[in-house]
Amino acid sequence: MTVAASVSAELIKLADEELFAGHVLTSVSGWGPELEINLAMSSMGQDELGHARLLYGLAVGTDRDRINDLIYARPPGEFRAAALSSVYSKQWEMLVVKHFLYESADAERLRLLAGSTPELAEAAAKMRSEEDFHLEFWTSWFDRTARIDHARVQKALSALWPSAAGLFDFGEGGLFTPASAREAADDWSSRITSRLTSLGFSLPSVAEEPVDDSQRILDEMRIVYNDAPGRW
Amino acid sequence: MPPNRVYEVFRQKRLGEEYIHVGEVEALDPETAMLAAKEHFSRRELCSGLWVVDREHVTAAHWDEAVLSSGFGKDYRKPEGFRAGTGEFAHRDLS
Repeated sequence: MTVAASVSAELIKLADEELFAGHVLTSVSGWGPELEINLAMSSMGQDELGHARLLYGLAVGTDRDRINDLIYARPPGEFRAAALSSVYSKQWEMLVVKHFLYESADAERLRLLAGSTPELAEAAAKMRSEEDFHLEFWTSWFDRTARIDHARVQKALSALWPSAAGLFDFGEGGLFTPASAREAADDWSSRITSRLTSLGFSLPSVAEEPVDDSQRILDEMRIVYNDAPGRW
Repeated sequence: MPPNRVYEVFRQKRLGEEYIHVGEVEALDPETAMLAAKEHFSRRELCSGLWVVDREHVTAAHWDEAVLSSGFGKDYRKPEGFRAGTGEFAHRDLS
């Protein structure tokens, strides 16, 4: 399948976000509060890496070298991932808040994707069988963690909420119509806002410090590629 | 955090098959036990169902191995002289 350049660019955005989220989850798997959680994080991170490869394949075709070039050789400035997906904190509250926001937004995006072409709908269905569980996992742990330490969860929300909107940052005439993307973003945002405010959290629209760990992720991911060009 | 509890995990590979004990997870409650069990015991396997059971809810036999294994080695109890499913004896001469 060849897709229009504008569609391809947005599939790559989705793939970049899954790639970053997956890399972080598989890398922090020694930092969760228990063995069981570490193993689950690593497993879900591998799911995300698989989704990234699936989405890159839909964007540019399944040629391995092309996909590898996108991951390992693309200039960092060309990555369009929302900063939230790159957040690389080993703090449990940050992980929980990041993924509660990321997975709940991603569920909306998969719904949009399911209403697109048959090929993309098929990919969306495949990803949903895993993402539904991810969302359940992180929502459940978000609720628990919020009950256990409200203050630390508030701190994580203040740091991360402002960067979450970027997950719906799609261009004109691409994968989704601007109206449908905006509607999905508004639905998600108002649902999350009412849920979190009812739990006593506040959601500032601007973070004290911007969060973007994409360079760190790319540096880590590309160590071997950069050390042994052409031979890795 | 409240202390973790131990949950025994049972997995069914295909619909209709029995649930078999596959291990245990430590978790806060049944819900988090199930979240952990799902990733531990179904991520590379066929799986059509999972149970988690609080170990406290398992009633264990109080007999030791000598009692529980006492049926082992009693070959005379085995129905090997009988051809299963045929209704016939394998050896007519049972003397």
